[in-house]
Amino acid sequence: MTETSNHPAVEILNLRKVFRDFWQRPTVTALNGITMDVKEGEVFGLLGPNGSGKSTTIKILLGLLHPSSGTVKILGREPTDVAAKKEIGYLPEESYLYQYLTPAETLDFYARLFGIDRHTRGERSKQLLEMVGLSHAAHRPVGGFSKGMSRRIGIAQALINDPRLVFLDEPTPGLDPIGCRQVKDLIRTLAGRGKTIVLSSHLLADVEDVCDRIAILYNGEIRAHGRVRELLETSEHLSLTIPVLPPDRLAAVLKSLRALLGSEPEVGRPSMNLEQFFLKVVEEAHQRTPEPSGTGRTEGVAQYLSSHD
Amino acid sequence: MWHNTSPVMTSIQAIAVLTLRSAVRSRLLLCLLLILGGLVICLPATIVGDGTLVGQVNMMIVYTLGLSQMLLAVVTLWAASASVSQEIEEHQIQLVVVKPVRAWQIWAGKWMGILLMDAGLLCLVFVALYAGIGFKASGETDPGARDRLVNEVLLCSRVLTPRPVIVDNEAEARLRMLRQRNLVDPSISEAELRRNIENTVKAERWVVPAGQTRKWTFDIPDAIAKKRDAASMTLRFKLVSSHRDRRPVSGTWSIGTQERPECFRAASGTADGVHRMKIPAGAIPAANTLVVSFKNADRAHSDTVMLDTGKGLEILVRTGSFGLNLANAGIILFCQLALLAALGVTASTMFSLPVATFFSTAVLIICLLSNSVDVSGGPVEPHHGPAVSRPLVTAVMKAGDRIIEFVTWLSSPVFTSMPIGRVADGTYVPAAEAAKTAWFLIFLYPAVIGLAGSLVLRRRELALPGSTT
Repeated sequence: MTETSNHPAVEILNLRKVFRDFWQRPTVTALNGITMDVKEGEVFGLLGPNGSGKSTTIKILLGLLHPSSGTVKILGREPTDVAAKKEIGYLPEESYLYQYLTPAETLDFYARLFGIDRHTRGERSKQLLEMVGLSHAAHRPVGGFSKGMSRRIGIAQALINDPRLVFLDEPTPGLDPIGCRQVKDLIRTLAGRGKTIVLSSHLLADVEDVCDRIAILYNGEIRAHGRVRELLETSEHLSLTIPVLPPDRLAAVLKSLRALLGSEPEVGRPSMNLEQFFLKVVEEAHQRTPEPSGTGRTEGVAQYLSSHD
Repeated sequence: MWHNTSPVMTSIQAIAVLTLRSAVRSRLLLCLLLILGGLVICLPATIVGDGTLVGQVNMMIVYTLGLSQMLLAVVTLWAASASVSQEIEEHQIQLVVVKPVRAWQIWAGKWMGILLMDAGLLCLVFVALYAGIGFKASGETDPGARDRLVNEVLLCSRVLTPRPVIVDNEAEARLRMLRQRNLVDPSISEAELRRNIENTVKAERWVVPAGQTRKWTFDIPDAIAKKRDAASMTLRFKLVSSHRDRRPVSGTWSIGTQERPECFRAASGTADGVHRMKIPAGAIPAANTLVVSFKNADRAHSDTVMLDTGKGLEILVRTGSFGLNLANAGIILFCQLALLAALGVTASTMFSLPVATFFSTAVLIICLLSNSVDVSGGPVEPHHGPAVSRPLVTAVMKAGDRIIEFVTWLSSPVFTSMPIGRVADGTYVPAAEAAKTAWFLIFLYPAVIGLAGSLVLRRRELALPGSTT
């Protein structure tokens, strides 16, 4: 859980978006009067099935779409305000990169749009490329990259300005489990530094791992909204973890529990989830093999992103 | 240039460099370089012209610059039309507009990127052409031909044209005479009749029947009048003939002030083509007005002399070097490309690539056509039958005329300055003209067009699902 302030980084009030055709006839109501806010320093998850309005909400917040009605504010300003844009990082659902640029040129280009000086641009690009494990491919055109590698460059460009508010629209699809884990670590690191993150995903495990609060959208409306733990907690059951016991002692413990509870307790062995198991296997393999041709070994989080101001 | 600039300029530069990089890495630039290289190197080798060195160089300049300009215009229009529309289509624009960049900066960056490409390619063409002409001239063994090349092309001259005549009184007198003799066709309107008579009077100015004399008055600017002695002046006249087997013409030219026609020279030659007659320095008095007259020989020795109505008679005053002239012409051509780029980039903020290309090409064609349509005479009337009252048709035609006049006026800074032909025939292209063209075509018009493009880009929804407009 990250520390949040009461100042909203994102405010949405009665937001409605209706897409229209060439003749201005309404075709789809993508958002139907949603109201919510995201506090500064919070990791907020937007969940929902395909077409529920997650990406539309993010695009309106970024000024890429205009609301049909309602108001939105980011960092207390209009989405089109240049001052607000200076503080924002955005990873779209596809990494819309210039295919003819190399990763180094890509990061340099976006850094220049922020007016970042040459020295800082160079430093940050280097750190970000190390962070996403693409230092070895820094001078290869992005057009030849796999989807996962492009995604990594997309993540790097979203962080080039050390943003206060980051929008991540489906950040993990295309990434291998190491990349997914790294993105989650990155989100936690950024949140630890007081950054606000709005995350849109339909991968529930990802959201559950990192988000403080979530909103579940369906058909353009918010169907559930609140803190993750509060939403997921069930008041009827409690889990108790104990060390492995010899059979006779376990039988005694179960007998006592049965007598106390008046019902049969569930017994099982806790296991690693698949992600943890995969990471363990890859880490062991990495000790024995040289640098792979695709994504290289990543170097944690870029220094400028992890260091506190 | 690229260091210590403001964030605004840094963004524009970044987008300009990106646009240029796109042209380089998509091999567009390489392709253009190959074609232009072929034009500049192969064309002079194949040109024969009229067989003279001047003719060859003349053709070399016209064809090389003309074809290069045409090619660059097409590429500029296409590249500009693709600049924003392609990025909207491929969604890369989404990552740009969410950065602290204003719409006008994106527009300016795209525009400047295309200008950088055009500037580089134009420079290459001009340098290659200059070197090619030097090579051609150095290879000529006939000193006479080399001198002619130097005098007619490589030393550029300022062109003075005769004072236009006021035809109102003469036209009125002729109209009165026709009425008195009852020779007016009632089916022809008064306005059309007057227009025809005026055109006849204007055309007669360029015709000298055998045995007759005609005079033309030239206003000489102060700067030239004062240093007349130093300046070398040439009388250039272009004769035209509608017959294939015309007799040679001969007569006497006199040049001077109204009171003192100082310089006389008998001339004879073919009844068509461009002729030059050198005016000796100091042979004529310093004055702000010069009168040139031609006394055609009698019918036994000459035929009717007809001068071209456009470039019939000119006084050439040697003004500057070929290199400078070429540079000024280059600036004007670059300005024209800059305007095309502005038009294309703005169209690309509004439409998809094919529609933007079509739109900007259509605008260009409309402007070109409006400049070739003469609406000064008003609506065309029927030639036969009585005049019919058709108020709606007349109103529509008048409105059409006004629109054409407006478009012509608006596009006049683009089309009035056509420097290629002038460079080829050694006519001075003033730096002031290049500066004026730059003001209109690089600053004023692109600013207005760019404003429109920026407003559209600012208002447009750039992430509509599946839409590319």
